[in-house]
Amino acid sequence: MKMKKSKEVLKEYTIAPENILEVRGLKVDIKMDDHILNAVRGVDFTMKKGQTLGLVGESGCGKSVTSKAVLGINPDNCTACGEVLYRTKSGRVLNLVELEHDGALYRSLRGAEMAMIFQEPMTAFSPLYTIGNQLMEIIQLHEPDVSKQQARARVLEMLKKVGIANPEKRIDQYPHEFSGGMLQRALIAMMLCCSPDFLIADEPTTALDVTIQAQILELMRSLQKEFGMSILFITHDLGTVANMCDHVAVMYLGQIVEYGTVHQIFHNPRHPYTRGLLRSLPRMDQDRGEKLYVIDGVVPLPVKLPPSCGFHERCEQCIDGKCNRQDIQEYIIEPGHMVRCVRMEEEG
Amino acid sequence: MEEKKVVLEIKNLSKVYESKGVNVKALTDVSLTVYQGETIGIVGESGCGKTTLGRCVVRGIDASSGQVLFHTEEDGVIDFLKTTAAQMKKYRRDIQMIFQDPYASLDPRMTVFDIISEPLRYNSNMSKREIEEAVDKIAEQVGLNKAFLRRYPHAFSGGQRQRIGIARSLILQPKVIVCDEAVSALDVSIQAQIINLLEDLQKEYNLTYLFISHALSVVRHISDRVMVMYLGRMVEFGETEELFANPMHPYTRALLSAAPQPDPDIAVDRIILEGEVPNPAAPPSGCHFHPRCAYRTERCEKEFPPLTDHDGRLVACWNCGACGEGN
Repeated sequence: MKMKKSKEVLKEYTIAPENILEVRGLKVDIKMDDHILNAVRGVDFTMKKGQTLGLVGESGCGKSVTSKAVLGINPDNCTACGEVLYRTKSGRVLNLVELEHDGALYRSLRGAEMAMIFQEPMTAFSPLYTIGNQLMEIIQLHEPDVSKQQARARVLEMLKKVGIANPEKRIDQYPHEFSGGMLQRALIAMMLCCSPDFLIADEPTTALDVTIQAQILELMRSLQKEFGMSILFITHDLGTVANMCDHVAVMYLGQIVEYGTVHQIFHNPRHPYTRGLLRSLPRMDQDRGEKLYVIDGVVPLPVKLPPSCGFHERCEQCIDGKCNRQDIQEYIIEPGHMVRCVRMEEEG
Repeated sequence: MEEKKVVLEIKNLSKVYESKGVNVKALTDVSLTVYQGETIGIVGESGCGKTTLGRCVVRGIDASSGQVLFHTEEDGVIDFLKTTAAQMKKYRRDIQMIFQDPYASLDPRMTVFDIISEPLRYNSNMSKREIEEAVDKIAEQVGLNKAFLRRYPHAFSGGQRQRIGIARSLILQPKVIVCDEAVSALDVSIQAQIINLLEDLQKEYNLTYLFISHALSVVRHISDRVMVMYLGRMVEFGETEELFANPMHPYTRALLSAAPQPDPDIAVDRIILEGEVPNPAAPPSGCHFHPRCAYRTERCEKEFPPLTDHDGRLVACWNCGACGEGN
């Protein structure tokens, strides 16, 4: 991300007291060799303390870019604008977009207050250092007063907490000696070391087997209860979302097309894309032999998109002259349930 | 009911890898009879031997012992493990593979046309013209735009690439296709497109699929019969519908209950297995699953349970049905 040069005093912002994060009009552009990708095209969402928001969508919908914009860890060819208002542990509300990405303030937040766990635990660790070494580094970086012995004791405690058997031995092992599930546990332990308030989990179980996935999700749920963390859960797996999240935001082509509680999204999906996604899943409780519903076509590239609904080319209910001509506004169809579809005008 | 024609028989197939003096039993004593036109789902966690099984069947690797019997019309029954490489070439066209990663399985330096036509160039005497016609035909069938055949794989999306892989495996008109996690890397909407395509092609050409996957809902959708593997062995095998409705092996039960359902109101009594898949180089004694099994008895720790037949369902468990209403 481009650094903001200014050293001016940060503006004061306020957000609702029950929220930890409010994102307003977030846009992220990615500069490529010969064009600019509008990866995130105006995203708004809020996160309540201690709750889990699922950000779902297919590859290229901008869900990872959005989450990385919150943490300020997008690469240099990305520019973000809009507001990402975050309440720090000390109660101050910051617009993270204004912060220098490798400035002292942002760095003091990352890891200590806001943490991230990644899809591939195998590549998230350095192969050259022991697991213990890498976990202790986090603690000592954010809390310089903590001695090495204290840090080690805390790491041991965290490894135990995430269910790693024999932590005294494991702490001195290297990542290659861990299985995928164990590494994901270690990564969760690492993120817990500084007890953050806010966690971004980017496809944390996609690379794991189902039985291990069930273990890790269970672990995340219990840790969330214990520490009261807010989790932004990014995934393309609707099954995991249904089991993990309080609220769901469905993203398509850099916009949130539907937002609601997990029940609203799964029992009363209103956007044609959400409906299509749910219908195209093979389900355990459905008759076999039926053909799967298919959303025709592919996600277009977000380059110089004309004013239109991003989904109109693939939508069965596209209204010519509307969906392909104008940007679509948000419709609130019941409290907390937003749909970005022009058909809501009539359906209400 | 019309008589089912056997196309492939796998008998007591085992594969042992030797590494630094340690024997790793990747596959132990797997037997399976496959009929023409059906889809066998093969499920299990990483390291359970499902990919090894697929590779042994296409003879991408040589099994250590056992038989892979391929039933041909002209030459009768052929044991793949006893044929020479030269003889094998004749039968390779009948049994093809579709891979998981559409990004890694296509040569980035070959055009799509070359990728799809390569099997024909090596396995047939067709003229250039005939090859072009064949490629055009198959490209149309799998939904690839003919105008883009001279492009390179990087210009295609994941779903399109998987179509290229499918076209390549189909061009020799095989009888059996081993699909190794063929849709796992794809997005939900694209996954549905590819699953439907595989099903359409199966109907049209009477194809037989060995569908290897860890995605249970996909396996349930596409398979006629399902085999569950654990640490190199078959632990349960049966008709898809029945197996999913009434899993009899405790591992199958745990596997099914662990799969997240896309419905917040389905309250599953999730069986959370403790521990992970053990190291196949040092498998637990007796039933390999016993350290993670809630129903283990003394016998499970000592003796490996043989596969037993329960009204057509094969289950390898000493306490079969103890955990459910089955048996």
